Amino acid sequence: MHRQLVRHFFGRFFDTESLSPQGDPQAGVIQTLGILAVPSAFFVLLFRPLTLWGWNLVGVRYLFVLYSMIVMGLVVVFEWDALFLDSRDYQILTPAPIRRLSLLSTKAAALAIFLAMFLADINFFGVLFWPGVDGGSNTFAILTAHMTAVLVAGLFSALGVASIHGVIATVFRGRLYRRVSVAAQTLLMGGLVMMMFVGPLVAFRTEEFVRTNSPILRWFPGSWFIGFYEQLRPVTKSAVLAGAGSRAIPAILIAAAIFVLTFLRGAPVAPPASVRARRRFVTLASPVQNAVFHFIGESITRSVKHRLFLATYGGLGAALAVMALASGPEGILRLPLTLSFILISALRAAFQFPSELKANWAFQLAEIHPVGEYLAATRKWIVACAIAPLFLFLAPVEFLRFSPGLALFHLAYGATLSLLLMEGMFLGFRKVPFTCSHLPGKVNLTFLAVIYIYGFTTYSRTMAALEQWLAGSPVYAAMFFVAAAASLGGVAFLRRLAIARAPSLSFEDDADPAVRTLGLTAE
Amino acid sequence: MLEIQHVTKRYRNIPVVDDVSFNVRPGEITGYLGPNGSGKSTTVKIITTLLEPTLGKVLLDGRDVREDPVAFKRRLGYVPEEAILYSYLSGLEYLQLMGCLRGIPPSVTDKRANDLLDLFSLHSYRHAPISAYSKGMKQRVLIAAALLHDPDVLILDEPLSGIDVTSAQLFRHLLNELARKGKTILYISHVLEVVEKACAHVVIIYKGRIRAADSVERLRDLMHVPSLEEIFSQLVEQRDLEAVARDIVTAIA
Repeated sequence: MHRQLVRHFFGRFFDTESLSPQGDPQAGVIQTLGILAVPSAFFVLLFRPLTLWGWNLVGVRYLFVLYSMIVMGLVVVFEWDALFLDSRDYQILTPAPIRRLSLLSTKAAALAIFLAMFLADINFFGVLFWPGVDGGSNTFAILTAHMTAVLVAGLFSALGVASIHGVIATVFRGRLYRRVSVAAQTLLMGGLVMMMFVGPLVAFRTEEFVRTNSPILRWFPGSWFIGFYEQLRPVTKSAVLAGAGSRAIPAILIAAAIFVLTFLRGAPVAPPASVRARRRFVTLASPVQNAVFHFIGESITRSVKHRLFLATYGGLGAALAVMALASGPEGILRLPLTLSFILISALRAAFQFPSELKANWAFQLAEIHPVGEYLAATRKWIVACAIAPLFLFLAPVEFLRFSPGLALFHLAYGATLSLLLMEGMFLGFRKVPFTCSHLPGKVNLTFLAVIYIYGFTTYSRTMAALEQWLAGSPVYAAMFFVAAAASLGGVAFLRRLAIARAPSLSFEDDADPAVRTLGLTAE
Repeated sequence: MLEIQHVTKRYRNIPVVDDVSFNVRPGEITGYLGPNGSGKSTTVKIITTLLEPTLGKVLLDGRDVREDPVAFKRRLGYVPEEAILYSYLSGLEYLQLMGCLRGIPPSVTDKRANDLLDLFSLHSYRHAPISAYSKGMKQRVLIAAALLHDPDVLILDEPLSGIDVTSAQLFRHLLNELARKGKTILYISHVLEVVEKACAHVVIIYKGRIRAADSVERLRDLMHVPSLEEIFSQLVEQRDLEAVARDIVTAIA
């Protein structure tokens, strides 16, 4: 019976809509494991020909330690609600003659297997090919030290995130628990994604941090584990770095103790999200636009999957903001452009993912208005709830850094480009957000990579340069806004043409054909 | 009048619904009966335009619903077999969504939604998320959503599933009231007693084919049996249920 319970709890970790929206969790798990195993394999093969030593080796070690920590943290954040026995477990299993201790021990065993599987997966290739990267000669010692450091770091991160949930579950009750838990999960998701991008900058500045005795060594957990690695296999002979490592084992023991104690206590049963009226601040004149507008807002704020998805983009945005601000005076010009690009592309991607897809029959049966109405509501939501708040948030920074006239110009320029970007990105969008099935396999990664690389680099750089040039010439600035208005009119015309050609909404993503031909003809 | 004419639906050449024809008259409640897997829900999905038939057509007042689906959808109210709603919305938000999607101005939708929630005894739960509702409460939200725009045609697929006795009685009165107002009502159910009491006409489908389509009285007279349950038993091949019950007890012993 114990084995069956462990299998049941283990299976529940994969029973998430996010992992398999089309209902094939097993394929989703295999794909996820495959994707997560690739980065360590790629980087270890990239660094292998270099054969490193000293601070260079520390920097590369740090990358692997951080990768293990970040991914294990993300895995636990993703499984946030499945970490403890929940009300569903009690409802299903309490009628059966099973003791609570058995439930707890089997749940703990399932969690341990789950974490071990991911720890092994994400570090497998990194450990296997590591000996060539380390310039030392004792292969066994190199391998053992690397394996211990990355596994312990990943385990600490997983237990640390789990213990944060445990503490929240112990301290808070009822609706407050739900709110704090949701906020913590979202922030952790965003923070870990941000670390994914900022991490390499930290990793290769370790020597500087040691030289200046930076507080990062004492307070950033990654430093504890790179210090621990140095203790296991010294390559810099730095007592300061090794000293940072003395926090690693106590930290993992504290995280484990907190998690175990809170795990035994269990998560509280949270009441329904809200039983009070939620005020609607916007009412659009067109009923159907009003319906779609509020549906988007309600879905995006209440769907865990979409919240975590947007938090991922939020983490990326925060990382790029940090990098832009650290890059010098031009960074402040690039910041709004980069953030608006990320925001609009994040929404475009989030809108594609369905939320409670089976309920979309309601939209299918109520498709009685021109398609343009549904699409207009989507664009209005993006403007009112994403672009406008972003620029309102950035306005104080602009007014503090620049003269009022220049700040206004920057904000108008950024908002205009955001509108153009939105119109461009949503030109082919023929859906009510969250109501169309989505086949992840159809995503063209090459196309996306080109778009994003262009967006994060060339787009913001070029547009910031154009902004600087336009700021010096009111005539050219006016011409820019006229051209932008004309472009917006042109896009609206193109959209009307496209709607006239196919005047219905899409509720089903077209599957790939069973047989894909090369499209060759005899001519 | 809603006319279902020679509707056939095949999956991989296997007919799930085979040459089904019947009419649903305005001012009457037509019951659509059949055991699980007989093709009831497939027929309903075809009528509501959620599914395309392989053959045949559905006419409303003489016009093919597929030729002008928008006009048909405007006149249609539908309660699906399964209570699938957006569970993160509250009952009120769901009705506001459905009302506005139907083109009813937000202020009118708000009033109508609140009135219906009150009449269906859901007003005190109106701000709670649907995920916290019982099956019967979800069903009442679906019925309210189907009635919100005062449709001419109502297609109700197992509307009483999970509903308590009082609500079921209210619903039966409501059906009669709607029929008196001239609505065209197709009522799909397994509960033969309810169909017998509520429906003027019944259509019985079995293994994708229509076995009977007439008034309950005429079917009783024709088949010389006193109840709809016995008509149903005669038309639909059934296993020896008493023997199956005995086998179940043996299997668990």
